[in-house]
Amino acid sequence: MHGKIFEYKHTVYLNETNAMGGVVYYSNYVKWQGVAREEFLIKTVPEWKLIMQEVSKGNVNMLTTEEYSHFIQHAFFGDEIIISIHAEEIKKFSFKIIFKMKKKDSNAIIYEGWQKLAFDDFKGHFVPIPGHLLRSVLEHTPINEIERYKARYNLSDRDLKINKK
Amino acid sequence: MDIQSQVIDILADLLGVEKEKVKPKSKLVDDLGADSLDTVEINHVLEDKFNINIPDEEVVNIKTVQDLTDYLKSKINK
Repeated sequence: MHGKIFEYKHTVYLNETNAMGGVVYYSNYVKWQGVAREEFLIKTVPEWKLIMQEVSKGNVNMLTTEEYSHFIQHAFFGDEIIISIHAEEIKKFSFKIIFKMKKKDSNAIIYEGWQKLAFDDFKGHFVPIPGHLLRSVLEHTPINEIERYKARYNLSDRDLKINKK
Repeated sequence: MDIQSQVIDILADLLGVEKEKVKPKSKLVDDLGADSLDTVEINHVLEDKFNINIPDEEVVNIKTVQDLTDYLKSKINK
């Protein structure tokens, strides 16, 4: 099953706003990116503790290599924010997480952004996306991006265990 | 499809640039925006596509699309 969207809800607290009109301070959107991606890991990757064991053994390290933010509307104290995430540009050693944030009451999009995640061995050598994580990432990837991924690495549906029924 | 055309397709896909912007004289870093992670991704796809091994020390001298095409031709013809 591909094309899933993962959602995480967040309420804006006073300590996330600034003195200039009480709007959410910009860096909090990047903080929320981080929280949402960790929720994604915990909630959609049953083997996430195994991945963390590999991290603690020094075998694999997750890196954020790029981040992009487009601030569209202000958010304020008490706003309930829905953060939707999916994956794109799946490659051997990296992928992008796409973030869309909207207000729950009005459905207004307030923010769009992405971050690129890669993996290394703590010694500066990139390593492939861990298999357990890749499975979940592919489930949360739109079908057009899956087709690009298959073409890029000459993979079949069977390789991805796609069930199109 | 010749090697250069395949290289251009791969670079356009992995670097997210339009094929028309990938010219033989294009510099991988300065013109196409490749970073160290992109280089690893590109090498992996090329190794798989052409069934060759690309050692890190041999990548250092590859600056342009033409350099990369020439390098692949030399590896494939060995």
